[in-house]
Amino acid sequence: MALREVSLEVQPHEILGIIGPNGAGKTTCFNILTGFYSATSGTVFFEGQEVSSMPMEKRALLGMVRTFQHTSLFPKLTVYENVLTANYKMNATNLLHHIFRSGAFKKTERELDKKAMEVLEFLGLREQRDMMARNLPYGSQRKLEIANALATDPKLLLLDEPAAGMDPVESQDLMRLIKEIQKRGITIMLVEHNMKLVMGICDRLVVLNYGSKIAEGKPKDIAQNPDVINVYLGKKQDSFRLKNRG
Amino acid sequence: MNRAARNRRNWTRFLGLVVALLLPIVFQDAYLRNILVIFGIYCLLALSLNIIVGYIGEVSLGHAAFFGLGGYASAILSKTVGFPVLLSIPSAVVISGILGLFIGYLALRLRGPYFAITTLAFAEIIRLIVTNWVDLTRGPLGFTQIPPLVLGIPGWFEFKVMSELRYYYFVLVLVGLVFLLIYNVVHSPTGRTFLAIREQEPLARSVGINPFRYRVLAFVISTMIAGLAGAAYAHFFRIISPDINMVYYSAIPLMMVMVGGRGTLLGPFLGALLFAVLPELFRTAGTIRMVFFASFLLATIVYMPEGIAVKIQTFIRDWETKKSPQELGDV
Repeated sequence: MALREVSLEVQPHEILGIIGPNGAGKTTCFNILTGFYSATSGTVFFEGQEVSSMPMEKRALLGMVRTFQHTSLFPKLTVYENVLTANYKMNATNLLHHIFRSGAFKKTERELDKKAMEVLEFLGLREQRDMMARNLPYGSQRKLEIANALATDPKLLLLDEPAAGMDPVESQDLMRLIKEIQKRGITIMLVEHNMKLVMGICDRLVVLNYGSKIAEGKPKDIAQNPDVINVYLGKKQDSFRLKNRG
Repeated sequence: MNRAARNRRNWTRFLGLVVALLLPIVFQDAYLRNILVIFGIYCLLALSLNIIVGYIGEVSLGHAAFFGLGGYASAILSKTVGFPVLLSIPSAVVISGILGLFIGYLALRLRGPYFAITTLAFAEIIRLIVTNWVDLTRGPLGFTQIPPLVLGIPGWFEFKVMSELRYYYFVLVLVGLVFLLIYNVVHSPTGRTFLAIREQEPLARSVGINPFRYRVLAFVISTMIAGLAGAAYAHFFRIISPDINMVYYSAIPLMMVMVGGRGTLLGPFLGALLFAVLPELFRTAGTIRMVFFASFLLATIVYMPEGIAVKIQTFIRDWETKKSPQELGDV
């Protein structure tokens, strides 16, 4: 998988969707933006700061947090432990505090607990807090993946196929949730195959094909764009089926 | 954790402590007390290796290096340099940790079998250095008459910890402190970070964790405790030779951790009991007992691949859910 001269920009508080056929380089794009892979050339800026040479974990601490397809949770931990563990950023204590159970340690643990409960409440996972993550229903697992990312208080949240495998009801719910996250002042980028979801919530779309950007714009313009229709459905098809995919 | 589980945990701990305190009083025999001390030292060694195997999920085949280094460092510092033992033991812990930092920093860039082989190689290098640096270590002769542990202020009040009974309680205090240390680390953001890295490294990185840094941290903690075990060994037997660096002392704690239950707090104790105490108790059975132990090891690997401690935990949980089906949701 490779990308060729792709340039994109996401504005604060925006929801930007990245779409394209399988193998178009959507996930690669995420990998490069977040530093999971390093690009052979090109630069990444985050809030005006160049982050191209930073490892993924440093970019995460700046507020650039992603999810992975299917591996964004700790299967053997409970839902609550998942969110607690994912909230690495908030912990201000060090090993010595932990060993000697200092006051600062207890204070931090209370704060982490509060934050974890708040995130679980927000995602509607509170009831399942003591369930092991791998025993959760599929839709809830996807939500927990978002919870893990949200626990770190990101500024930019990159969601890699958050609706994968969800039924229509669950993805409706997810759409509402992503909108809510946006309302909290978090910028969102998402890679998604579910066109209904993408068209419904994204402010802007970027379309990739074979590693190149072929279109960019508002969802309704993209749906009419002949190049995009061509890529998705082959030539001589109308845009009707594109809208109703998924 | 529900109240029943917490109660049970507290009772188990209390009972464990009482049994540990009473053991040498029940067993008056010097030989049996000797075994108890060895058991304690192996507990330290297994607890330390469990941090690497259980909490960062790598297999180290070179733990003997740090066990031996701790023993030698404390022996040389107390006998050649003239440190009081109460000071030479902590120094040995620090020296072990420094070597752990150095080796961990290099070896932890590798994973799985590559890491295991690298640790084995480092341990072998250290064994060769210890054997051949005759000026410092007296080579294959090793040290005899290593000074015993003396508590108190020299000249004022001295308390020699030499008898099996006294040394047993000294080791018990060490085991207790190390257990507490590991418990506190595991149940803290640091411990959760170790778990995050072991369970799902890309996710750990995506929330801001630097895996290498934490892997090295865990390795250093582990090697410091191994050094402590080595120092405790040196001042108990009061002799030390390059044998302490042999692969045997890497393999035994590894078996203890694997069979006992890696990544659990109880596992290392069970493993140490199984591999340090039972072979001694059945010494009269002769070499045939080794055949039984080998079969036992194989059976554990086949039927309890996660170790005895995990099996016990699952058993208790199943038993409790059977008793109170309404709690099924908690499982």
